[in-house]
Amino acid sequence: MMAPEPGTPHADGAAAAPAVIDCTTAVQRMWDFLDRELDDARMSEVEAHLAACRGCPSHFAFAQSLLENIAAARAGFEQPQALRLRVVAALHAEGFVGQPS
Amino acid sequence: MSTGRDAACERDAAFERDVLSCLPGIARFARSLTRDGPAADDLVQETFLMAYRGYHTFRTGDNAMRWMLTICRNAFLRDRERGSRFSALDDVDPNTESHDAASAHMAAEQRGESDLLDRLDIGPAVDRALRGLAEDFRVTVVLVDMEGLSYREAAVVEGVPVGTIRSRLFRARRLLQDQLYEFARDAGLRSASPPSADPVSAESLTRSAK
Repeated sequence: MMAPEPGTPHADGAAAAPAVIDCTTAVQRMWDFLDRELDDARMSEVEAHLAACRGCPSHFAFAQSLLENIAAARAGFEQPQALRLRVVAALHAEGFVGQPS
Repeated sequence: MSTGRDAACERDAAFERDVLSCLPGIARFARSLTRDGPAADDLVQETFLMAYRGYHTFRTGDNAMRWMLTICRNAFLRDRERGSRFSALDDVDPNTESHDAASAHMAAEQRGESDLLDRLDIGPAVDRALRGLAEDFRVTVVLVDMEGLSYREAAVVEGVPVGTIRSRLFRARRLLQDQLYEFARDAGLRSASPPSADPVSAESLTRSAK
């Protein structure tokens, strides 16, 4: 029996095998993939490529690491409690009856 | 029987729970917009006052953070009288940026810098690099990479198409990546072998990765 073309729905309703994509396409989708902005089919195609490719996973791993470090930089943007108190005080002047916490 | 004061208390309790809890994220966003501590604090205060005055327009179940980010952005634009200023950088091709990021990583591997993120405390460098980004890029990174908004949500907040968010985000990440490599070199971690003089193309990436 011939195997179906990649991406072709199976007659029995089983999930089709992801279409094969090359490194250029995989890298093109790198940020969208890491941000989970691709549809399910394209996500699967990239996952399948990464499972089979020797070169691309290191680029994706580096990119993921970069994103984690950017997210971690949130700590450097934290604001002191003084700002919350200032905002609440300004709201109180507007009639806000909530309590600062 | 509910009195007017009871209703106000309920409203303010909801405001405190849903909106005031957004303050840390709004503060980060305001700092990304202004790059100036006192100006950011002013913007945060103005944002919350506008939100409080317009809280009757907020619908229960809506995303409060997105609502607040939009108010903050609009307040900033109004204050700075920056109604429309789409830059030529919005023409950046996001697909090219992805390839450039991978190519830059490959070049860094060849220079022996590929594991810099594991070997260095790059937190301060990331923070400094973020502050050095142009406003459009910085704001997009804060919205997506720090506040966790989807591309579509960030597009709503910034009032631009989703494609513009992708362009800004991918370019910003590549610029941050470049800054981190520079940081590694400044830290004296550059390998003895000189980097390749030729930029690594997407084609060579494809060839070598297979």
